[in-house]
Amino acid sequence: MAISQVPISTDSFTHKVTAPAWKTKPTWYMVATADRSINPDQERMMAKRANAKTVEVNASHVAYMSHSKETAKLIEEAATSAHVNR
Amino acid sequence: MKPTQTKPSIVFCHGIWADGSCFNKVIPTLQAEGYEVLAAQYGLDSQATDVAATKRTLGRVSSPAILVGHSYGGAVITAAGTDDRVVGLVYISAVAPDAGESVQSQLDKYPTPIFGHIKVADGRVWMLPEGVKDFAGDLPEQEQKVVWATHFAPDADLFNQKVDGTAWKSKPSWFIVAENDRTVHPDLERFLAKRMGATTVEVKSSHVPMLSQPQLVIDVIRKAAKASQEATAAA
Repeated sequence: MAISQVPISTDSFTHKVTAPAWKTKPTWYMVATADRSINPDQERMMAKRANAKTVEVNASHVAYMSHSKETAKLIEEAATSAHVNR
Repeated sequence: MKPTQTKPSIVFCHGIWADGSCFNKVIPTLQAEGYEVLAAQYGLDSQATDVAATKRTLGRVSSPAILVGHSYGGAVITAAGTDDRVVGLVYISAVAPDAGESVQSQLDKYPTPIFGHIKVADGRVWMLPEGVKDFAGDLPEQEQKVVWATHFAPDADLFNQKVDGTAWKSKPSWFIVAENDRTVHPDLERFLAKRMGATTVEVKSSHVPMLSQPQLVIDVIRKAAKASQEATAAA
């Protein structure tokens, strides 16, 4: 993973979002409690602010790799609760 | 006899419908053998920006380095490989234009089935789900589905662009020809390998030998690295 990292543009982190989707769309959030890239308390704050259905896993920043089953479960939950009009 | 020089670094350049993680099956072994490895990641927006990203990546490993390009990544290493930090080139079922040639002009001479399964939308070239059989058809079905789900669509003009630099004219080259390739025609690969005077290995594989035959790919990279090491030691 370390070696197939995608370097980000320095602008990516200073650009401001104008219309956050979590204000209007149903939201789920996985908090990684051992995260050393994004502070877990920051994640909890954002999850709460978005009124997200939240799960916590004892994981580093790459919870989707170390806790793939929990991640898939959360996505499935989101997929089954979302309203799909076809 | 002079003392053996340090191992060259290995820098990977991915093709279209892929990113740097397509080399995940060959990277761990090379690392375990003591090679410094970095896979370039680029946006497939233009050849010039992809080459620039590769040169930035060369700046993050020790020199000298071997550039390894898969598919369109062969065009990237052909241009970026003229850099002084590069001592060898490994082409994996790749394209390798000469000065004045575009990737598209090469592909047009050797049509392949994959291009019947694409869709251009929003300025990018997408692979249709059934196309993955012509891209990675010898992988287990589950793996093919992941390859499709993570395919990275290039800019529709990418293959028509030309960039300066024809590294295979001045750097030692290795070429892995994929005999069952339905994306880049095996005969095109053979023609390119011969034209550049590459040390060539043929493998019964689809377009993605680094996923279907990782051991063979590791072996060729290892040989390229050892040859460059010996050349440096002899100099």
